[in-house]
Amino acid sequence: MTDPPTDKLRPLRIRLTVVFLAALLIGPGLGSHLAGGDPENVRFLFGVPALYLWLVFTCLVMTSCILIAARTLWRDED
Amino acid sequence: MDYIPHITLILYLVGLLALGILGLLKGRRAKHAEADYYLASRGQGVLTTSLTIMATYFSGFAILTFPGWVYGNGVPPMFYALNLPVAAAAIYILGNPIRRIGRKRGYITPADMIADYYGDSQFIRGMVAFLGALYVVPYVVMQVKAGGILAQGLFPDIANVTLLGQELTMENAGVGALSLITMTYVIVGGMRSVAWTDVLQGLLLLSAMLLSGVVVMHALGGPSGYFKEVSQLDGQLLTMPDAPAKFNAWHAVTFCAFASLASIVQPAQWMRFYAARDSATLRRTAIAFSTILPICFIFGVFLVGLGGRTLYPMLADGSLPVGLTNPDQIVVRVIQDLFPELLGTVGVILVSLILVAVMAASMSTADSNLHALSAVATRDVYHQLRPKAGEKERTWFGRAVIVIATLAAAGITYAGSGTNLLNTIAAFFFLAMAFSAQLLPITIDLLFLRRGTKAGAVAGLVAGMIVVFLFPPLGALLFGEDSALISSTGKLKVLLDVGFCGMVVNTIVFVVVNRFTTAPDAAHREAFAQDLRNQPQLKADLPISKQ
Repeated sequence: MTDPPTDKLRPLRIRLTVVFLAALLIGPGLGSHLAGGDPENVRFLFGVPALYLWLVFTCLVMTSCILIAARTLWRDED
Repeated sequence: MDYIPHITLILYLVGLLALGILGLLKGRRAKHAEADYYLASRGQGVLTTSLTIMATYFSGFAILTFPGWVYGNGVPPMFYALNLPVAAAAIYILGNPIRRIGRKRGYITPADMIADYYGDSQFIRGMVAFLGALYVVPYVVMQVKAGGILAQGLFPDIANVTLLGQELTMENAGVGALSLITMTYVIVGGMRSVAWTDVLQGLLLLSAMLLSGVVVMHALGGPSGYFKEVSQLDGQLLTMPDAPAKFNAWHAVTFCAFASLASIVQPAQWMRFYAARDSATLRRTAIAFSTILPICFIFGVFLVGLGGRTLYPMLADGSLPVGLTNPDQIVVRVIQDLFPELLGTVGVILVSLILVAVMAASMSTADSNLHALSAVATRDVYHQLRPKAGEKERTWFGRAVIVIATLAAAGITYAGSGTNLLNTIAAFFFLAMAFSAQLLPITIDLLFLRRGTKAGAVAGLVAGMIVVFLFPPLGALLFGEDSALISSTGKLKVLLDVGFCGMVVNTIVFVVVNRFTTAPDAAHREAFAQDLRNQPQLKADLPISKQ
């Protein structure tokens, strides 16, 4: 892989880290409470429990961060 | 039809032994016996590395306990799958510098690296080896036991087996057979055999996880029918509970962030980083781990747990329906009922394959941990006591450790459940990841910060371990179920991951002691940093003989 200058990648590294950690904290945390609703008033989206869709979304965000990092930040050095 | 489970199991076990022998043949010409036996000469490629890391990461827990949690508690436990992207990121971010410096400096165990950085201290090497053993030993015993239980599940109609005039239960016969086969291929081929069998076991495990979810969804009328049934479930199963209920958000966050990292720095995984061929291998492994595993969980085996709840609803008083004695049995129950009904003979074959895959999950964890235990006992204990021992002698000692550990594990499980020893080991098993997590502060320090001191590292490790010992179930064995301390830590455990709690104390003690003690000298730290960064060492830093 090509090796772009480190300083140019710094903003991307910071953005990916922030998004990844935010997804990790908000996904199972506050977001899950907001997305899923409460036991008396369960939320659904297209007939699917919203809590399950929220999990899929959170996982997608975290995995995307890894894929972007693997394509741009992580260098094959040997 | 009756012979399908027998044939599947025999083919699987013969396949494992064949891979073990292939590993032996491949390693015969190796120049360095020890590095070949423990690290496959540091040449493992993407397929082997990714599948051996995945197979080692998951025990029978993945395909039995996790869906059992979903069956009992609905969607909330599914959030624990978010530990997978965290572990995937750690495979590259922690694993690649570990691989790089391991190759340069010839490390084999985690303690080789940690002790080297903190001043070649025997005490810190012993501490790290002890922490590794606290993770590895209970895993070996419990996975051997799980293999026996699964053998019983594969042949439910066979109550007893007679062997050399001795009547054995199917569970004990399974424990004996699986221990013998696992021990054989680990002994003959070392890391290469373990990793190659992990490839077979990992492929079986991942296919089984995904396939079982697809079939359950199909049985309930496709995605729309499946979710229509699921939407009828109790609202508590479809919403996140508030703390301190089980599987609350606090516990999910701390588990995902720290239990995953603890599993990644345990000895067997750490050695897999040393064994990876290059950085591209670990980069691609991280990609595979972050994409394949979440799919297999979220669209596979989790759906079996949730669909199982609609197919086998719990009784009004909250007890399990007839045919289930434990929520962990839900996957086996669902596939045994649905697959033959939907797919006929193919279904019967698939049931056998999936049960073998569950067995594979246990065996792949047991073999990796046995192999890691052998490395830790040889490098961190035997070699320190007998520094003159050559590579070949050490490798044979390691093989002897594997034999002794396997016989001990089989003996403990044969002695029967309910004994004090097995209960104690089970208690350690439930806290294994919490012990392993205590390596994280010093790992992060030596990889990225290099400000810690030997005294700080030791003090932090001891403090973290003591904290873990205070939590149930271990704490309850030491202080009694009714003590005020266990009552408090029990409440805290519901809210926060135990490893996280230990790690917080560990880090505080580490930082405080670092402030009052002396760090390794600057030249040593710089040389270490250069080896971690893949930069050529300055000539002045090299030993005189190499200048």
